Amino acid sequence: MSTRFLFLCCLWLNQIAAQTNTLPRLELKALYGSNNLQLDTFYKFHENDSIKFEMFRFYISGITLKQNSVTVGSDSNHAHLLDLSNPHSMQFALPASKNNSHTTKAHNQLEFYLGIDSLTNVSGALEGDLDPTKGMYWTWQSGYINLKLEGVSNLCNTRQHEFQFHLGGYLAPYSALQRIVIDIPNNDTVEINLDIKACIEEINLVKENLVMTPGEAAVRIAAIIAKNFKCQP
Amino acid sequence: MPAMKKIHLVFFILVAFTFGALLHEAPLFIAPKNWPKPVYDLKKNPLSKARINLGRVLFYDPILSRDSTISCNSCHSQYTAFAHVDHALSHGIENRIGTRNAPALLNLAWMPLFMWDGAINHLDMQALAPMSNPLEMDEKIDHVVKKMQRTKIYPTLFYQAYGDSAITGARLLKSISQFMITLVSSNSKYDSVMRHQAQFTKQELNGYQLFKTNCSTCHTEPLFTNNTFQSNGIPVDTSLHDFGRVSMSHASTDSFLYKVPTLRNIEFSAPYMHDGRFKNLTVVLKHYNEGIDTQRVKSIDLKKHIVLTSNEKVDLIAFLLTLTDRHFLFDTSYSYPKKILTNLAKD
Repeated sequence: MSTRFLFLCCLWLNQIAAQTNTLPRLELKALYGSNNLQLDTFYKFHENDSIKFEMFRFYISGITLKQNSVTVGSDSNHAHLLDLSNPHSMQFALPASKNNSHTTKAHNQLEFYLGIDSLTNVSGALEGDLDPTKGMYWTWQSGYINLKLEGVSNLCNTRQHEFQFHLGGYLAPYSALQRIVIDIPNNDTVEINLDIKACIEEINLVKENLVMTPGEAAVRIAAIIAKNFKCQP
Repeated sequence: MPAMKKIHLVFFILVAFTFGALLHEAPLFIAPKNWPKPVYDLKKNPLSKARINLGRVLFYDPILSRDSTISCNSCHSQYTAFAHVDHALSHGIENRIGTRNAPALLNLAWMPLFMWDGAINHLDMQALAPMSNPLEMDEKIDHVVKKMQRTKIYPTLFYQAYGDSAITGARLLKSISQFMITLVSSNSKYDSVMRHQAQFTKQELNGYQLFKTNCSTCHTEPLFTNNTFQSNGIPVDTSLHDFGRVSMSHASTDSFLYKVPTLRNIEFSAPYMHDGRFKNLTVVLKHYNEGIDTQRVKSIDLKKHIVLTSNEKVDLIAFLLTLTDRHFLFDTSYSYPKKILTNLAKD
């Protein structure tokens, strides 16, 4: 009896270990061109200008793992706050399938949202990464800040040449939430890169350097950032 | 069954009922009969005595402000239905003055949007606005949490409320919501009349008829607000740079629209309007009678001219005074939590 029990326990633990081992991990890297982006570091920008980034934080939510458009894993109720100043926050396990079938199924597509959906935005005070103490919630007007990108460039005619992009807004017509779908290899670690240089080059920092409210500019800049999430093959 | 046994059984049942009644605690929140369903989803924040107590302590604690001088109660006093008596605009730390009038706080479980422009979408998130506003508390919630962690009382209060002493922003905000939800005002003379427990005087009854004809479209019974955003035709105060709901919605049709406030306890919640420009009800009625800029109002009822005689104005005010709820104004369960704090100090 006890031998059979031990055998079943071992089998069960083995199964758990197998499931845990086969879960792919998401590693998100912020780049400046071909280099890893470092905060508080000056980079060459355009011909004769420089740029420094001091903060880069953003939410991703509704992560779904697919194989030929069929969902094999999802944590649609979970939001992750990624913060470049905290390397641990930039990587985590991708969701397992609800029926644990991911252990046997492959994946070739990743879908997620840049930001927080409207339902979560109207759901009151929430814990964890969504806690308002995380500094990603507007106070004068309800709503999560989906992304904060702050830094300094002499192109900005602002106090101390600062630029601040606080992108958010969940109400139509200015919902800044961005859906991102990326083809991914069937690897244990999925590496997603975001080239901030490509993003910032699309923004005219001379004219647009402070976006801190929901609106057309927030939606437009969020879309620029969203399209620059790419999978590292 | 022998008679003696019967007597024992009856006695036992009576004793059981008496003890049952004594042990039975009053519900923490009751939606009055015939009122609409509350907007706030209590399933997502189940009420408990300990959480309400925590919210009540927070409401009265200036720890929420940067220099620990201003509490919620500073601009929301119970004896004025949690409005700010005699102050047109809200007051902040270091004698800073805000841009809007601090409204009465009552029946908030039925309110879908908060602040005069509806910028806040949930009761839980409302307290963040005054806490962070530089003209009010000028503080950050993460810093408030750190300050609370250093106190003696809050880890205990959070332990009592949530089963562990962890202080989080979400717990802090939800606890304030819990106390806010208990602020139900439904025991005015008007309510007694509706429950057939009292009668209006002739003057009040005439005022009620005038109210139903001229005011009730926006100040809809039983909450005395339809929670919409309206312009009531008051001239713009150019010194305040306040454009109303358009600032958050970006829709030009929302220019100079403000939330319709409840009229419950209006006797005590002066001054009136979003900027507190009217000091008493006589001036308010004067505006509705002869001061409305009909070009700027949205409500069809206000586009029609309201014409009230002097006597009718007096009757209407007599009715408005029946909305005063003295039980609410003097309910000790809403007042400064002296007993809770004294008990904590003893531990």
